[in-house]
Amino acid sequence: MNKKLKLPPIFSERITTIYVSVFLFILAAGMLIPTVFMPSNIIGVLRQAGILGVVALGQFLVIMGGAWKKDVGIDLSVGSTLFLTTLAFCHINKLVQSDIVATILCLLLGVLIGLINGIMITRGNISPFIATLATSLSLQGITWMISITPVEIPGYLIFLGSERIGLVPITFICFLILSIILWVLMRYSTYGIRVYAKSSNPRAAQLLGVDLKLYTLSTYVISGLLAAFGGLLYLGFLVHPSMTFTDIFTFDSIAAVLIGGTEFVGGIGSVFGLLPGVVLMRFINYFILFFNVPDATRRIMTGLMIFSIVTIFVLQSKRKRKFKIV
Amino acid sequence: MMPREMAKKEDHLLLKAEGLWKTFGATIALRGFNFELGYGEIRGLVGANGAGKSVFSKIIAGILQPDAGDIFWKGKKVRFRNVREAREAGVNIVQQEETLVPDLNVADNIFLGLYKKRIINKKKLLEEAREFIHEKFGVKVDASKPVRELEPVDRKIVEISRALVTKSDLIIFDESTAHLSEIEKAKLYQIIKELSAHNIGIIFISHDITEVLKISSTVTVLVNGMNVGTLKSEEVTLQELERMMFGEISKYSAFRSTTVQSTKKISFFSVRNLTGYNINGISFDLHEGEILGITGLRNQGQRELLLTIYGSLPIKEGEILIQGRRVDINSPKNAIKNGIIYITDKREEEGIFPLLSILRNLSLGALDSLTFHKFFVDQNKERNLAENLTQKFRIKGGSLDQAVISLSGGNKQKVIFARMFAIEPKIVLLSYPTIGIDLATKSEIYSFLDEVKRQKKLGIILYTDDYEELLKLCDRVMFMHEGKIKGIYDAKELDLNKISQVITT
Amino acid sequence: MIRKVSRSIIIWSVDFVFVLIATLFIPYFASYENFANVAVRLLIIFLVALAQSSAIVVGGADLSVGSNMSVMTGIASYLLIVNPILGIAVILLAGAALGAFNGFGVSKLNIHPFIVTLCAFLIAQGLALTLRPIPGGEIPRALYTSLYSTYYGIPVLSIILLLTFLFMFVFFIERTSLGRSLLAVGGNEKVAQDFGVNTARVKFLAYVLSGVLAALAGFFLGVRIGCGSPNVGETFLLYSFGAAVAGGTYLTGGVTSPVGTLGGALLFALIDDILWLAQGSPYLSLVVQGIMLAVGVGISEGGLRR
Repeated sequence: MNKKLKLPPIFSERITTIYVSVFLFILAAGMLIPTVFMPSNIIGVLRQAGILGVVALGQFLVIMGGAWKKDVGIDLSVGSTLFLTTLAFCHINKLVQSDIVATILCLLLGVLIGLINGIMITRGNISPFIATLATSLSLQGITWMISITPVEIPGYLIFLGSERIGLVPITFICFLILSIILWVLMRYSTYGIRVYAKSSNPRAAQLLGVDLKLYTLSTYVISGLLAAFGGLLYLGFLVHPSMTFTDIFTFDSIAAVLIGGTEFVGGIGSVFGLLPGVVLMRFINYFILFFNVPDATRRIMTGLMIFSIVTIFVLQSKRKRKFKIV
Repeated sequence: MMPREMAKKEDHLLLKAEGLWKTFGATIALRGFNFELGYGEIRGLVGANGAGKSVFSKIIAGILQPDAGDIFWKGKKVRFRNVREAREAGVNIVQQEETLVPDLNVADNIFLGLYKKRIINKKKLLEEAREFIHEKFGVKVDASKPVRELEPVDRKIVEISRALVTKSDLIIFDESTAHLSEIEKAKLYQIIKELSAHNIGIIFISHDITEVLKISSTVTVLVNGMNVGTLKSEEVTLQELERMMFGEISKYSAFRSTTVQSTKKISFFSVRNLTGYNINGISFDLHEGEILGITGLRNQGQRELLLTIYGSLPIKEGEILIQGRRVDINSPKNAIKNGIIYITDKREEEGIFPLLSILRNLSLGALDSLTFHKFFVDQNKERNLAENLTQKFRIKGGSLDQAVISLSGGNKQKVIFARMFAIEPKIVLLSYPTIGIDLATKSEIYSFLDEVKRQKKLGIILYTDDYEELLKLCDRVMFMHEGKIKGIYDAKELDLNKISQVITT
Repeated sequence: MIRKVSRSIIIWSVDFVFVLIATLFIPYFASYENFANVAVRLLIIFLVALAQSSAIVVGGADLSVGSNMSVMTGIASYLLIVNPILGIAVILLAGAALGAFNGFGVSKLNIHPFIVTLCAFLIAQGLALTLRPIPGGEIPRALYTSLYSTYYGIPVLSIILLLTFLFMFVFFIERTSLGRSLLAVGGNEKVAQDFGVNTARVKFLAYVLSGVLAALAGFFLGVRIGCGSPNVGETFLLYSFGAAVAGGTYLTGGVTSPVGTLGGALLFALIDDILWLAQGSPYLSLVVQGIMLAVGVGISEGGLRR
């Protein structure tokens, strides 16, 4: 499958590095604590990884293609969108008494949030960081204001969120399917190719006829949509709307993208790196809950981990800079 | 002007360079360049574009490092590894490109990097800056204003002041008079004379040879990265210098593109009263199979004209017509649809996609034509296109899947060319098509343009500073000044002297 | 300095309008007691906004300022009751250490500031949770009362502190070589480097400064809430950006205005206060703040130079 994937040498090395690192890490953990490999744990990790993965796909697209006027692309509102969706579904469902309609409207909600982000950025010339931060806060506030209305969660959502096939949860399968779709999009469609071009050199892309506004906007819309979908999956998993506020989605999705080798600038990034990224993030999470390691330590570890991995990437690139011309 | 007698005689030279070589990829900027300069000597440097004047200056000023050769400063062998070291040794340069910090004020820019104490006496600093500029240039400047708010003329004055403010033994002026009016120029000449009287060496680079002869005591001519001679200014004429500058180059390429006769009644491409960013009321026609050159001093709106036609800059007034039909061009996407392409000279900034493959760089222009199901790119078609282009344009340097930044400058330029020509354009807009490119690639590009022109299905507009290139390629040449057309001449009426003349009057 | 003030006229006008509306429509707003509330909020937000502007001005950003503050409330809740001087010293040092981590990552390792400070954010958050998993500890009441004490209705100490920090920062930016270097590096890093400015050192110190200022803000925050709390600093990340950018600091670097930043800080302090007074739920305040941030930033050209 990877035959034609001939990216510049720097990058393939990176993907290999991350797959190997994650694999070794999990292996090492497993040797220390054999219970890690218990089926129920594997399923648990993969299930959460699937949901995080869906969100991370959107974040990936935004980081690759959502930059605007020298400001890096980032979507800080994905977590809030996800949580809001779990609540919104219940309320809408109660209102329209239809599962299908509620599902569709929730997805549209995600699109709307993405549009708001995108318009703030491309028309308001607001930096993506601030725009999505503002959105995130507003959404959080709205979420708090809405009361919890428990509703019977439709079967198909429960199927998506809680079921599994053998050892592989449906959420993870959703993630894989969406990954493949995004991968095909990025590699083979004119849209995806132009996103890479925009990330590599926006000015040059513009001169080739790429509508920067449109492309930037679209990445945020897709991210919002995917975050909403993630919310539906999460709802299917919890079978109850979420009221927790430890944001385990926004920063973890960013971490997964960065660990997966994507860079804020330059056109470097691949959907492939997301898989080890999300698995690692959720593995650590699980590992930690398992051992009652405080939330605090998880964060410290995440921080140190991102830092070390990115440092490794930077040092790798420095060594490989044969391409540098005077 | 009488050459200045040196105030003091030294027993060694201020500056001596022996066998300097500098290469950029495939381009050789300096070939075994030799140079000598005495204390207090005002030396003019002249040469065609790309002859090596700026590169040499940058090496002496510590901005660039030579690949080979030695530099002797005040009799001792040295190597300036950066600007700071050169400055400390006493070498200062006023570069062509602006090197100010836009949001800092005048005083901060002038004294950049020179703060001796932790705490600054701001009032004193502003006063010093103000007085300095007033004394040297007779100009009153508000020293507390951020330089971005100043007129270009005042900005240049600030840059020059920055070079004058530290103790120097050598000051290099690279095209410093471009933005100055006659009054300020006179002041600058005065400053230079004074510096020389204080035993400070001066290297003065300018495209205006008359000016160079006026101010300098001696003149060095550069051709193709070599020093072809140093003469006393009072003993040489303008024409002789020009012959020295341009005579050699014609040897390697007696190229002259075939002239075109316009046979069609309807103009192939016209621009009527085009007004926009830095351009004003531009009108001209382009004939099928013609190459129209645009030139003039730098920054007179030439690039903006090209970008406006390409839809990258907005049109305030006027219209663009293709085959007599008015077209609405408001974006590059639109322009490409109408068969207009723009090939940039700013390779790194706006031309190539650095870490993407050569394959991708080549196919990005014509992506829409390589699709099946209108949305997905057929990888085979893409690869075929890339292979054809590589062959046709003789792009060398690696496999298609390698990152494009591994290519040499010349080959990168070819990629940019090839990419746009994949669209089969009707109007080709070129900006400095052969800048910083080796001679071999240059000839290839010239041949290509000639061939494409002879097929007669398109028109080319070419903006360049390289007079040689204008004469070799163009059928007509349009001179621009301050956003307007100064005049359009038939190439047959022009030669190097006439071009200089039109530009400087 | 006059020029800088005129550039931030917009934000001060907005502030004036706010105050006017609030005085007219919200009872109790125009009371002395509330004045003290606003002043203390302002002090805290101003300090963290200065912290952020230090990082922004050299062309970067500091995502860790909020959690930095949370950590400091934690440290304060342990040490101030034991030995106030020691407590403050440790807080400042801890802030400097966090800043040094950021500075090292950005200037030495050349990692994108977002990534480095994001890691610092997470690490600091973790530390804050380790110190105080739930709000607790004790901070000497005396500090609180002195901060909020009024003299003829004016919260003297707060205002004195505010003005002191303002003047110190203005002096730093305008009159020290390091301050000017910060602007130079942010304005045109290559030129600054060519002319002998040690850009790596300057960037490093900018982040250390950011860490220290944020820590100071955290100290005052701890005094205000009277205990150590793990999440309390998070909204201040938003404020720090909003206030800095609304006050005229360009996200591209090289330009900042302490006076403008003060105006921006006042805007957010006012909103926070108004909402608290209007008895809106704190959640509503979040929504409004989010909107105000976008508006405030939009006012100053979105923080981007066109």
